[in-house]
Order: sequence, then C-alpha cells, then structure tokens
Amino acid sequence: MTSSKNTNAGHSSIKNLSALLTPPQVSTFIQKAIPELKLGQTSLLLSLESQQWKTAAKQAHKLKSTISLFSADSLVNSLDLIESSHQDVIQTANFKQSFEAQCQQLIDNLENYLANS
Amino acid sequence: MKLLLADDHALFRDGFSMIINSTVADSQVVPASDWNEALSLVKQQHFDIALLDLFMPGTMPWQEELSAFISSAPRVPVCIVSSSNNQSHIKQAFKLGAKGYIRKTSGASEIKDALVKVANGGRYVPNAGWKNLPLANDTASLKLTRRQQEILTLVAAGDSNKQIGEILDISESTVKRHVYNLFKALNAKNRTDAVQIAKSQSLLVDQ
Repeated sequence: MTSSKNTNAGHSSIKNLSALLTPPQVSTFIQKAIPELKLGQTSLLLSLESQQWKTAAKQAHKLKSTISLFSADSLVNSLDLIESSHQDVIQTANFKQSFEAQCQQLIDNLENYLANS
Repeated sequence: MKLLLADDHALFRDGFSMIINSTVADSQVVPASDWNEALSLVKQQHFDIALLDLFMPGTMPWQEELSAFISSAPRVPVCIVSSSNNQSHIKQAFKLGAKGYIRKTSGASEIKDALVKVANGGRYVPNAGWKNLPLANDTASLKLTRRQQEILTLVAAGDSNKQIGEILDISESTVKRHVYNLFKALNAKNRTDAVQIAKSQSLLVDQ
C-alpha cells in the first residue's frame, strides 16, 4: 500500500465535515463513500494505464464530486488535471504514483476515522 | 426553504443534502437524478430554488435541457452546482438564465450565502473574478433572444430546420424565421458563418 508523506487530506476534510454534520452523519457518509472511492480509484488508474483519456476524464469528474465534499485539495487538483486531459502531466509515472498515494491516503484516513469512532 | 437537488451522483446528493439541511434552517431537499426527473418534479411541485448539475443524463445537450427547465419554471431560481471550473460553461449557464453557481468544493458558509441570495432573487457567483458574467436578460449586449440562443446551439450541432422544429416543438417555418433573425442579429451569411461568429463572441460553447 502506497502512502503519501505530505497529504493530509483525510484529517482536514473530516474536520470540515465534522463541523457541519453530526458524528453519526459523518460516519454514515464515510461508510458510503469508501467503497465508491476505492472503485473510482481502481477504475481511474486502469484507464490511465490503458491511456483511455476520455474515459479517465469522465471518471475523474465523477470521483471529484465525492472527493470535493472532503475538501481534499491536492487530490482535487490531480483530478482536475485528469479531467482536462493534461496528457503531458498525467501520463508520467510520477503523476500516477502521486495520484494513487493521494487516493490511498484519503481512504486510509477515512478508514481510521471509522475505526476510532 | 424547499430545494430541488438534481445530480446523477447519488453519493454527492446524499452528502450535499446533509450539508444543506445542517446549514439552512427548515430546509427540505427533494432529489432528482437526471434532467427528465428534475423537469417532471418542477412541473408538479413548488420549489424555492433548484440546484442543478449541468452534466446529468438527458436527451438533449445540457444547454437545451437547462433552457427547457427554466422555460418550464420561470419563477424558480436556478443555481448550478458543479465541480467544473470551466468558465465558458458557467457563462453559458448564466446567459441561459441561471442565477447562481456553487462549486462542489464550497464551504458551508458559501453554500448558505449562495442559497439565500439566489432564493431571494439575487445572483451568486463564487468570486470577484467572475462578477462580469452576463445576465440572462442582457439580450441587448448578446444580441440574441433566448429562443435564438437555443436555435444557435442546435444549428451548431448540425441539426436541420426540420430537426430543430421537432426538438423545440415548433413548426419548420417558425424555425426558418428564427434562423433568419439569428443571421441578421449576428450579421452572418449562412449557418457556418453564424456558428463561427457566435463562437468568436463567446455566444456559443462547445459541449
């Protein structure tokens, strides 16, 4: 499992949601979000690997809706790049690794929240 | 406040509904998952505001769906909710009559601000850089009526007068008259010319 050393998306986003919603609401939402995030991440990485840029752009747009509720800015920025098909950036190995790490970090943080709630 | 929230992404609808309910007192959110359902609901029920995602499933390009929605419920203020930062899409939405634009990444205070402003007849754009967005009624500066804008979108999509008539449920001769007026307003010689001029003046947005 890859983990980003500089992404704090999960913690800050949970704080934001916690300020708006009750703890049971936050937990319910996270429980629904995690499977969708995992599926979205896997599908998107496959599309990037197979250079299906249009499909990747659509998947990025959809995934961004969920992730935007967590205010994970760095991840949203990466999804913006995929959505706008910035191929010079998104087809690099560095970008894919970084994107995967950002997703995984968010998922890990959400799972940790559930485990500790 | 009764709100229609139309977005094809169920998880986003759930999360955004919870945020609205927690930030706007006495709010009731009615969900819809596509343009057709949104249109059907707005014809059956009263809403104080409609929150619409542009890129939901529909039978027409989003410009026409939005236009049809606004025509069907002219008293319901429409606010776009989108994760897109594509300003040309947003400008097009405002030209067609949207009163506000909320980014999906907005915080609670921004969402509340936007909803209150739009529901009370105001207009909401997310930051100072977008304050020069056109109003729907700025037909003088845009030169085009709403119907002409609809027809322009269809002309640009390659539809014939007959097809446009069928889509908009008007006669072919009425379409011809609108197309003639459209050419006149744009000072265009033909359909290709009209589309090129419209694009150069940002009156038309490619989907």
